Amino acid sequence: MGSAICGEKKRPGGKLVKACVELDERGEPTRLLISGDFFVEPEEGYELLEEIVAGPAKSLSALGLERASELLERELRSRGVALIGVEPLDVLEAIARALESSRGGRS
Amino acid sequence: MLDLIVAEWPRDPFFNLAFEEAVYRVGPRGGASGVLRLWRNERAVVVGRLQCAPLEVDALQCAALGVKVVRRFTGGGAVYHDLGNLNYALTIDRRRHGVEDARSAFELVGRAVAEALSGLGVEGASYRPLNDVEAGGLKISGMAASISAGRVFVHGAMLVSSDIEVLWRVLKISPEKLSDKSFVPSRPRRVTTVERELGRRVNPLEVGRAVAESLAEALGAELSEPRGPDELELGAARELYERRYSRLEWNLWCLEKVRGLLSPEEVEALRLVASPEAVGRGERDLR
Repeated sequence: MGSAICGEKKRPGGKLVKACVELDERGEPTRLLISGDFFVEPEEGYELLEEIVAGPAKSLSALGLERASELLERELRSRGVALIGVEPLDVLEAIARALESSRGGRS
Repeated sequence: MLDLIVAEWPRDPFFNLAFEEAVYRVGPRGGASGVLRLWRNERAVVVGRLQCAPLEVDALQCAALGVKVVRRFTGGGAVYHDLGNLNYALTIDRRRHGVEDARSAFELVGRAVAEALSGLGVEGASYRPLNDVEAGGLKISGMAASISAGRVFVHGAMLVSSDIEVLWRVLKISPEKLSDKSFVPSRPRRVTTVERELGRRVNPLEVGRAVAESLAEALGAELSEPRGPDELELGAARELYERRYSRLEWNLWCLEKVRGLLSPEEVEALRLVASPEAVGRGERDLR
């Protein structure tokens, strides 16, 4: 397994998401790291975030950015977790940027 | 009443952050409408709950400059602490003060902090959403918050006379972070200090007093005489220190996922600066 590749997305006037991914042999993201200077409510949400994001992240290439972020929005709502300073779309965009550079790096 | 605690362990930022969370968990007591803690660290970078310290700090610079790295329990961004930085931490009863969410908590505290600065003579001090206080468009204080069903917690770091050059040497700022800033002047000018704004020497305690009075006024509460830590708070802090803040698993939670991005020297430096091993014994005995 190679090393992580990271992508970032800053929400204009808001906060920053950093996503780092490793790819498995099929090019799907594994070992996802979501970090950043945004806030999560309630506090327990910090520990749940990667688990919540994992599904939408895996379906990112199949669904595309918009639909994957709608999926993430639904997952967050159903778990009662809110992001403050960034939107679900920003999280997926950071992941997409990481995936882009990792694929660019592999070819 | 706003219960004022002045309690600090500047040479042990790990215990300082454990005590910070302890004050929030214990909460206001004895009819107090809130608890305010004022305190300082020696050189340290304090990263947000969701930040990955290896991505945020230059570990080799931290090791060379004696800067510790600690993760806090609230979100938000990395801040640089030294004895010229004043930390304030407010815990209030949520229902009693009608604070609905993090945004309104930031606004309440940010406005009070800006007013305290104006009272000291700082020009153009204002709250800037989401979690900053600025002076003349330059950041002077950053805040973070946590909200539970019954309690609101907001803490912030205020640059009073901090060494800004060290700040820029130890913090990594990504170009993406600056992507929405239409005007990006040279780095040391994006932040300022109370001393720089007032053009005179300023004692952090003088600023602390002004912040405490302004917060008490905003809450419509009388400010108590400052007190030290009590046994309940210290007990909670010791437990949190053992379970969280003294541990690499807490401070460097993401290390395994980014290890491939780091040199062996950086990993070694991170382990050194993010653990209390090298903290002076004398200070810890005070507990």
